[in-house]
Amino acid sequence: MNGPSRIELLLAGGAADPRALQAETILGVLERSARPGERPEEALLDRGLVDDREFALELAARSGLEYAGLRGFIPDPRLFLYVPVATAVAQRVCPLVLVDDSLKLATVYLDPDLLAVRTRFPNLDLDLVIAPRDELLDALRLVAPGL
Amino acid sequence: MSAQAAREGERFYQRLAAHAGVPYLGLDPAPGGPDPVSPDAAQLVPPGVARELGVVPVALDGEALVVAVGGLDDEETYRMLRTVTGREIVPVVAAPAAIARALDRLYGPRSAARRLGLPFVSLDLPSPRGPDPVNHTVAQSFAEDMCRRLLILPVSLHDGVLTLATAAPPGRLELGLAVAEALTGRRPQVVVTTPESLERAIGRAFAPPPYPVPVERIAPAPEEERRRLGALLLATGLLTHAQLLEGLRIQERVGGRIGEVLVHAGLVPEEAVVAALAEQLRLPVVDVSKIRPDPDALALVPEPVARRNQFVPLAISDHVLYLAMADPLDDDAVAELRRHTKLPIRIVITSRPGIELLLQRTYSTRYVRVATTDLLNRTPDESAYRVLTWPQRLGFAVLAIVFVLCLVYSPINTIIAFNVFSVLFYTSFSLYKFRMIYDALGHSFELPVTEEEVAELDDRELPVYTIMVPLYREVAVLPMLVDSLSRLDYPPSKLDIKLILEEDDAETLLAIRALELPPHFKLVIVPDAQPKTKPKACNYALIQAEGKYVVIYDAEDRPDPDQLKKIVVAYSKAEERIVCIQCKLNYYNRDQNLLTRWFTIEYSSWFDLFMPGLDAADSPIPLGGTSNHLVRDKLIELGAWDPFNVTEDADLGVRLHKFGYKTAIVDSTTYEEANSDLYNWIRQRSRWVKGYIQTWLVHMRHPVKLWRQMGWRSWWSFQFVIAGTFFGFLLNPFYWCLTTLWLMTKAGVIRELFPGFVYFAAAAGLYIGNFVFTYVNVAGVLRRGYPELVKYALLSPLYWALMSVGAYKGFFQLFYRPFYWEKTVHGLDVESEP
Repeated sequence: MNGPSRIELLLAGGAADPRALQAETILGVLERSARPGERPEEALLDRGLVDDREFALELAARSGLEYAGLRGFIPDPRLFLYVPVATAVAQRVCPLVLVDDSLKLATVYLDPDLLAVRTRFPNLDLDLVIAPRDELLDALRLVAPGL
Repeated sequence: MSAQAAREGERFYQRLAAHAGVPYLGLDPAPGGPDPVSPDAAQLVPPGVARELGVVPVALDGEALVVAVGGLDDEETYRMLRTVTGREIVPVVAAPAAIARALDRLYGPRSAARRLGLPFVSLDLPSPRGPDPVNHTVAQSFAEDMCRRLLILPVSLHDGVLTLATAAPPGRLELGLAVAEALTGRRPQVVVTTPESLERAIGRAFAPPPYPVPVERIAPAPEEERRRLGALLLATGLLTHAQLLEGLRIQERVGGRIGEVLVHAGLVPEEAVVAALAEQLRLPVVDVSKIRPDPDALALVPEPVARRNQFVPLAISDHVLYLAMADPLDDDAVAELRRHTKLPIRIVITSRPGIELLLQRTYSTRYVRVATTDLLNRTPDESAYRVLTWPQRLGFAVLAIVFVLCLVYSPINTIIAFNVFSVLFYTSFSLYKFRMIYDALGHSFELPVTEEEVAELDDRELPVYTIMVPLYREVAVLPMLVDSLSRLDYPPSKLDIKLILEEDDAETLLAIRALELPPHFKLVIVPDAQPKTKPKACNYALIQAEGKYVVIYDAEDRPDPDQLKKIVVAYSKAEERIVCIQCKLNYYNRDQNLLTRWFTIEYSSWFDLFMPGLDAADSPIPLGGTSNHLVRDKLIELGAWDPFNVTEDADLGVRLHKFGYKTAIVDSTTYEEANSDLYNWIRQRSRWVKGYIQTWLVHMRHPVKLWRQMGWRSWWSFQFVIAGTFFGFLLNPFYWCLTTLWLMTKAGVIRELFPGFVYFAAAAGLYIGNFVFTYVNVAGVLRRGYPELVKYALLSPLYWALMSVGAYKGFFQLFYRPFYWEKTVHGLDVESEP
């Protein structure tokens, strides 16, 4: 997916409080993002530097994807046969509904790695929508209590 | 799950498969169709692994194993399956519910039961108020913890066979069986159930009873006290280890419960087994000899139910039914009781003889009524209660009047006509008897039973056999009787020997009690009531008979030891309409005097030749007084013995033939004591002749109907065999006197009575008759293997004279004491051996 960088989005969209973005914080974030497999946004969200709902709305608006709030949502466990729970947790996605040959997935980020799912289910379309991270993780906790 | 939800679920997995591009497989077999799961594939994956992974191996695709999975993305599952099977795994998708069902089919209890060849049962109640398939008393013979741990539960005990339900997986099944075998001393019969059903059954079986029970019953027994019967008996010191082992060996051979086996083998007293059983089951023992059951309690259960199941309702107290039982583990009895009362039951144990005597005491009035009047009430025309019916009286009166009038009007011609009738009778009777015996001489008409067939019988499969021994003042022969019956080659635990005593015969009763007989000898005490006959006593005992077959022996009888087994073999081969098998009778004291020799000659001819001849001609057979082995149920259906007929055996033989059944003969002999005393002999013979006349009169009440029922051959045979026998004895003296008078006086009047054609016919009849009867006597003793008696057979005419004396005694007695039983005294010779 092409578009602005993640940090740019955060700053430009006002999702982050500029007062909080002190130099050392940014440095810390960047240090953490250097760890393999971890997204810098996670660190910002973890520290409360970025509001996850604002972030999701901004991401949806800018990417043209739909926004889906997941408060109170109970996922269908069978859909994790398409997206294994481990994948869902790692990629911050949650299957929402299967309509015909299309599986609607909520995602926190725009570029989850779903290659394995696409490979296993070549006849399945994946339809992404953006959801707030905390709400998505709450939904995943219903099928993966240790999360 | 609703059907719609199930379909929805299946659609989901069908789409999952389609999205993945792998096949979807419906794992449920179509109704009547084959199972889509291949057993060959299934056996590649251990049941535990398949259940753990939630997969079903469904087929082999070359070297690869096709496995039905509910989800596709679990590499760990595939890796494990590859490791276990050594094959590549090809997944197909199936709905998890269908996978679970397939796993149950393949590896569940039903499947395990199928593989092991065991029945699968549900232990759940068929309905909330329905009978429990689990006998709680039997179940409680094992500890609850052990049942839960081993997933086993004893559920019933029938005929000594314990049925054990198990939900243990195959690998653990053997452990449960071994424990059960060690506890009970025998291999149980196993049925398989589901763990859930077993769990519910254990819960019910060990739940506190819903009705008040004595404290000692509900108090939990210490574990060390929950010992099985054998251990308890060992602990009493009344049984040694060696005796227990011997009992177990006998049990292995003949079946039955260990308690019964030990008692019947004389290894332990019955009272000890009752006490041990009571301790094992935590039930009170009650001596019922002094108890008079409460009529309200008795009214709850019909007498036949109580008798059949060997229990007696004693009382009702606080809405609890107190029940005396000898066998509290009898499922069938409790189930049948439940059909008559819903009251909570409190069981008290008593000994089996105690129950039998209590049943007799409680229901004796009813038993006497049934024994005396059952046949009379059901089919009055078959009973000898009335000697002559009104039409018969009228017929005989008319005949007598006509005869007298003819005598008055034309005495010579009337006697000539009577002579013609007599000549015809003698000649045809002689020829008929000759024909029967001649046929039997050249053939063996008995039902063949070989020694090999007897040896091949499995004692465990033998039916219970009832032996009835009517006794009246028979103290002298009691030891010999016990000895003879003890020699019978039949498992004692399957013998039901009824020693039938009259109430007023205290002497014999005391003598029997003094003998301390084993428990298969059972006392039946017949209340003092008229008619006091052997058939009434036998009917009384028949009500309580337990055997599939019933046989009567006289007190002095010595049956061949293998006789009962021969009969079992014979019945297994006999056509269905054979309901009676008559064994041969003969005498062990034949050499005692001339009378016993003649008697032996008569019996040899009758049982070894004449009866088989009648049997082959499909004619009615007048049964011998003893050793007729009857199918109990058929005997009851026929109305049993006529208590008013003093030859009830002959009458029964005719009756069963009349109703389409048949008697067969088996080559096995019962040796009896021949009457050696002339007066005693004449008494016996008079009874026989009186009984034959009774029998003839009973069945000739409707001669045309009898003809239709029997057919013409049997009808004529009946006339010759029954009427011919007594008529000949009654007629003989008349002609002997006439012949003697003629030889001495040559009186002209006698010549007038026998004009030429009658004279020559009578002379021919005389020669034919004497030849035939002497011939059959000689043939009989030769067939029996007593050639030394041939010379006595030539003296038979003297014996016939004695028969006529007895016949006239019986004939006249019919008019004034029709039901009087001329008792034959036994024990006049107790030294002889067969």
